[in-house]
Amino acid sequence: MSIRQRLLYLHAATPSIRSEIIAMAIHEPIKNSATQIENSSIEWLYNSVHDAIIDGWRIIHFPQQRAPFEDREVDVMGYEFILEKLEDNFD
Amino acid sequence: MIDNKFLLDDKQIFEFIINGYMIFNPKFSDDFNKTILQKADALETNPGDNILDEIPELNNVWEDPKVKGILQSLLGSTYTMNSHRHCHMNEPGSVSQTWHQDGLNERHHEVKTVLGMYYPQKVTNKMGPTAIVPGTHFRNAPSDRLATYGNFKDQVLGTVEAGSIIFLHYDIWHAATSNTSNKTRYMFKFLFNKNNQAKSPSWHHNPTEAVKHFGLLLTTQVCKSAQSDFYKEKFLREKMWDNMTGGIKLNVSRDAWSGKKRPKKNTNMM
Repeated sequence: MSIRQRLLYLHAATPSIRSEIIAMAIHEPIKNSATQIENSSIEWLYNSVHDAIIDGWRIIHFPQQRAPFEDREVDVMGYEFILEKLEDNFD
Repeated sequence: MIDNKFLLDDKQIFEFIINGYMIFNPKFSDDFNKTILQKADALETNPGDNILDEIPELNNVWEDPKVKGILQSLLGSTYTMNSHRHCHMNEPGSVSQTWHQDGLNERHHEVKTVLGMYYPQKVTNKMGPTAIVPGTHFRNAPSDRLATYGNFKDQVLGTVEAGSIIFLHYDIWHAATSNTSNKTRYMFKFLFNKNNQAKSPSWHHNPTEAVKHFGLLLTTQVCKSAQSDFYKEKFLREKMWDNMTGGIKLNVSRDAWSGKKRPKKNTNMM
């Protein structure tokens, strides 16, 4: 058995871990697996980053609160948290 | 000249400004859609920009008065078809694209270019429909910055009836989804350009109706994001409306609480 890293990208409405999730992508450490835009109903695993932490995910990247911004323009959506879970049940 | 009855009205323009797309079914005959589908199936290579040489019937899609009415409403009466066009063939077993914008991230708040996506066959969710994130046409984000997004809570799928067209603002975030059916899904993408800045509305404008529906710009949130982004989005919507109308000023209130009834006073509290 080998331990592998599962990755979860959660885009939250604000830099707070309690704020609502607006987008999500999960990357499984499995060869040829794909992370896709779903063509059917989506199972939303968590409502907030905090919910994911309770479920055992560890944050490995926090969004920068001082990210560049423009007064009147909008660019990317939400604040990106990257979380990991180390698991060994992929063999 | 396009007959007034084929033009959009103010409410539909507000909705396009808010969403960045609209789905329309011109109700072409089944035979017409089937002819295009059969010709697409018979293509041996993808002709790219030369698709009209291979399937000239596609010209009829964009010459339909209802379709022209929408394009004129969004781009003005002097709009033209761009020389770039493409037949998108989403084959069975495909994986989804990543989110992208087709535009160059040129910062503006206009409807300069409209994408017209024509689907000759019914598109179910399993056939790899086009996914769209509503309201993202205001966002200046090159496609590589979108690579880590997966699914959005408010994304929509373009599951449509045969012959439908999705009109999109050129900058909106979109992607083809995976085709898990056994049929190829065809989508013919054409681009249409605005050639002149508006001096007046190019749709069926009625000031009274416009005032009635103006509040949509200020209250409709189509994709969840930060509250501060929503404030900016509302500002950008108004900017787009101003550009499209040629600067018509409407006598409207921007105070969402104006006129709201207060709770009844408890007269016993003394």
